[in-house]
Amino acid sequence: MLIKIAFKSLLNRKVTLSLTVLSIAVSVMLLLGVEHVRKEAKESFGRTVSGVDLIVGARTSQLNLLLYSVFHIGNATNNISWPSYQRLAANPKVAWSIPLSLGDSHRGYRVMGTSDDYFKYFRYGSKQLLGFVKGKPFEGVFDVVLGYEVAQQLRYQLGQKIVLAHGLGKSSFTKHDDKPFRVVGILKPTGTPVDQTLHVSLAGIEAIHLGWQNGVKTPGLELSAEQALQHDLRPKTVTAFMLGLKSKMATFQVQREINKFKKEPLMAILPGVALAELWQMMAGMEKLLLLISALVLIASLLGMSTMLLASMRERIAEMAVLRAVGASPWVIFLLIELEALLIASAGIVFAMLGLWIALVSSQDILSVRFGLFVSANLWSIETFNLFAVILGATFMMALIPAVGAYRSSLHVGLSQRK
Amino acid sequence: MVQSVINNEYAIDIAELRYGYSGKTGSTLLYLPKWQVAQGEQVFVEGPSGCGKSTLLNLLTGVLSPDAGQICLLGQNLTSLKTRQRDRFRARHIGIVFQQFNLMPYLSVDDNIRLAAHFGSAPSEFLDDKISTLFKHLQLPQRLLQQRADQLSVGQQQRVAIARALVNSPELLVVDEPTSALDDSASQAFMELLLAQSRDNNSTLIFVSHDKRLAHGFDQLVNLPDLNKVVSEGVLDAD
Repeated sequence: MLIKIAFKSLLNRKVTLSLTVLSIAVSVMLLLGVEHVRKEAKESFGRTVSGVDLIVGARTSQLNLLLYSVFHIGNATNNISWPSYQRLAANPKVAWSIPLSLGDSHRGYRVMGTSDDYFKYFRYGSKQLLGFVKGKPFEGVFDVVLGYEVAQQLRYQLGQKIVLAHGLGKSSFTKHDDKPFRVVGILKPTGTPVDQTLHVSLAGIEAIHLGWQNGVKTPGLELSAEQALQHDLRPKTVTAFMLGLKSKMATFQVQREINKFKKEPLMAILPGVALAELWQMMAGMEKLLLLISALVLIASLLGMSTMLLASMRERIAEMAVLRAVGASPWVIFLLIELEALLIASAGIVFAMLGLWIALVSSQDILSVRFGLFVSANLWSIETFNLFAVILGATFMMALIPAVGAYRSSLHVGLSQRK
Repeated sequence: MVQSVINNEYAIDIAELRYGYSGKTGSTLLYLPKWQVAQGEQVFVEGPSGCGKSTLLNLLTGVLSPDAGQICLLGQNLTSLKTRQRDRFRARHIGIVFQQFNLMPYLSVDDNIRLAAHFGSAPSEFLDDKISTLFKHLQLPQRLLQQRADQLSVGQQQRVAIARALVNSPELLVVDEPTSALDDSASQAFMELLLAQSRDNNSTLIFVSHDKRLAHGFDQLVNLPDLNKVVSEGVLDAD
């Protein structure tokens, strides 16, 4: 009966009600969104590399190296010469190595040159190997293997010819249009930046840059694809490489050896340590965001309290009627609290709906632009805990009008005027 | 529940009742040395506004507690009950009709009446019959039941208020200026229905008004200023 009264009384004030619900929905959406994206980002970053012991690149911050080599965010400061790579990869403690060559793109998606060891050793998530939906690893110089999303979004099929662009812009003006690539494989979805990447052989990267100097085509030196194949296509540089070691125990030793490498200034990082540094950097930011969204929520709950408090003035007669039919002051108290909780619950429902829609519609942008894979699945224990906290806060905030109503119904009695 | 039976014959038995005592001025709002109303009696309490009528109503219905003295209703000493027990007693044994605002405006008429039944813990099996009988007697069309309370005319609302007050068959019916918003002929009709219904229900009726013309048909007429000895003690009453 009480729920019915609370419900109908709220519906009786549709305009103020909908504004209050809206303000709560927006603030809950903010809080939930920050929490969700934070959690998902960590998970998505965490699952991107697994089983890689060291990542080696030119000297930079370890975070920068991690970001450009694994997440394809940002750019390398310098390259590693091929002989250096070969020497370091030949270290007896190294089980396998994957060279990476970055810097080209195709319609906004990054192109990565690598060796076929990539398909043999690279692992993601819980140590899963890459699998193919269709096709097989590249063999020829002008073969390309597409990440799942690339194939999906651009509707590419096996055998299709595509042209790579120099640089990373979505509308690059310098295209390697004289040397088209043929799609030979499409990878299974991984939920990592692999899905957003086109994979070619190092020789392929070398071939399309023949006749280029300092990043621009040199007129008169253009070569056709056939001519390019006649050239020495051994790579001269790589951007970075990943190492798997025979024994984890040797990790720090190998890292030290690479850091002390005489021929070139290089650095080796442990992906886990670099990620931890990233989280540490983000921790302050996360807390700040969380604090801001919590404050926004409190502000909107205060707004709700104000709305209920303001309505009490016109509801004195209503309260007198309830008291007359035998409702105790506690019933009045409960009624106000119930109204507040109904408002907050409606806010939560709308917030979930809004956030879900926002996530579903921004998933692509987040994954393409930021390498973030955020699922739209909002159901988790944490979410429910958050709901409990929100409803608890609502209860506390509604104490102001509820206690006021309780006291006035006790003292003002059956009087219908104040 | 504490049963402190003083006199079962009286619907209302008030002794040495004091309320609104203010230590600063040494004044009291209401002081009733003795007032008894027999069960089934229909009493018209008359008094100008500001003589403590609404205070008396709040005390009679157990919403307010007296500072001193006793109020016994139907043999039950109200002053010995806790707030919650008084609320329950009111729900079961007292029907109240206000001046104007009697119904929750956003609930249906039916829900309004059921609300009283709910708090009075009335058995729900005969409730439909009971409500429809009350409506018949109060000359209200049954179709009003499904309408929102604020869609009814004031006259209809006041009659629904009687139905609401009587749904738990209370022993005591307390009515406060119920006709102030009605025109003469409507208020005439209302008074007839009220008296007839309270008699049918064997309820003791306490009717409070400043309008002496409505007193026709009552068993007893009480002048509140005569009853309230505060004034005679020489202290000004402020309501």
